[in-house]
Amino acid sequence: MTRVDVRSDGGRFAAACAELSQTASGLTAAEVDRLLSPQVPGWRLRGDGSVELSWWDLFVLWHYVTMQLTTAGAGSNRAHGGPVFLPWHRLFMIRLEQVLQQVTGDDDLALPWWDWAADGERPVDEQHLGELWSPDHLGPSRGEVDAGPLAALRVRLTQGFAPAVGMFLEAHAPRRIRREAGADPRFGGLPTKADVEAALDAEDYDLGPWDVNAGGFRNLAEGWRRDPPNMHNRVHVWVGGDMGPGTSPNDPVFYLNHCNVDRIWEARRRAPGGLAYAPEASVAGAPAGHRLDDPLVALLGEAMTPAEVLDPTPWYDYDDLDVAG
Amino acid sequence: MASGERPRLEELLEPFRRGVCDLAGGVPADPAGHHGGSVSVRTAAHEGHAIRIESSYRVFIDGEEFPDPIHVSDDGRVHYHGLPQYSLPSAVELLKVIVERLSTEAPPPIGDDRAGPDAGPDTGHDTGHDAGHDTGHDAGPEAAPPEHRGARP
Repeated sequence: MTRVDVRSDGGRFAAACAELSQTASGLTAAEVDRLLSPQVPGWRLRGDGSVELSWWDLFVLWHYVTMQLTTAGAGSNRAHGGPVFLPWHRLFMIRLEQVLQQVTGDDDLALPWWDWAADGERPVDEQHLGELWSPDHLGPSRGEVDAGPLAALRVRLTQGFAPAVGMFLEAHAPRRIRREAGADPRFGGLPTKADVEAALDAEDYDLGPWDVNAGGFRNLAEGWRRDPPNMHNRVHVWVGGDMGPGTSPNDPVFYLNHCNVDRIWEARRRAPGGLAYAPEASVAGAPAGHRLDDPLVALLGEAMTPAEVLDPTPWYDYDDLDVAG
Repeated sequence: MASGERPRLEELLEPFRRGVCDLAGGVPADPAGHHGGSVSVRTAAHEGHAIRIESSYRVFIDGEEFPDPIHVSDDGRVHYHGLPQYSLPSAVELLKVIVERLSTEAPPPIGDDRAGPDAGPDTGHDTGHDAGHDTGHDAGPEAAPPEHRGARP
């Protein structure tokens, strides 16, 4: 199976995502609340317990829950702010791909990638106007997504905030995706090809203290270092709306972004000299949950380890690894 | 299951549905993580001296204490677990972003019997370990109309 540029997948992925959001999982929000409240620190699910969750919603839930499982280190959890950022999202996307294939009956369906650095070469005030945001692809870049195949996608779990409560997860009536791409001048434009090249220049996968302050490829690609500015993080913030909080997998753009990050990792991993994952379990101070043989948090299916997903070719490959070209 | 094999939908969901899915995989959450710790510790060594900086914030929005911790990274930028990709130059700027996303009303906890379309006032006990003190609001969202179809066998 080959992952291709989203501009050439013919809207296949978007249509599949919409279908998944209307495919019942058989679980209600109240059942999920009962299952997760004993296991997840800081669990706060609010709203309507009778909401019937779709398979799409379960992936949103999986991402949110993993974020709640904190690990040692500044800004770190079992999916972000540490070495496991890349392998955890790889597993997450493999599972989505498998589920989409079954629900659509399309055995060759693969996640597409979005080369956001190519769009980052355009003037900042034009980046939200590209072909990608037409009804033939992802639909509008600003406001409610009411055109194209994603107009049929429904969101039921979102993260909210309240002054005396803090952050919480809310189950609510189905609604469409919302975006605010490039509308907030505080955060600038998309990353550029030069930013990608700077990340590719990193010689180590990750380094102590293995968190948002670390050096190495992972932290550059994730976007906590300022140089290059923000990579993956910047794309989330730039799209805005549902891509902002911990329930960001509500918008399929989440997968396009992560698929491109995964592609950049794969390009660097296959470059001369390679890029060995770090840390191994024997490394002093390596945070539990981020080591080579630690289990990746899995809500759906069996847990795997970073070591088991380092080579993605049993599941997929990319049509083009010229990520900085 | 071997790499590359495609599990069936029921196989993927069954452990979670039966309540036997060990999410953490035996790795305990870090007690000083987002939920338990509100102090950021930055350290450096410089000219033979050890530097340690402890930073913490108490944040109030409209007079109500915001219970979630704010963290500072080594470069002085501020971030918040609830907006996992944001990194702002100051806590003021970060709180502006949070305030822009505040709910007009916090719905009641689902673990509460009163949750749902006929929900009464919210007294604010969450089901998690660190429930905040909610000040109470009246109604949950309208019931979701059924929109699903079954998964293909």
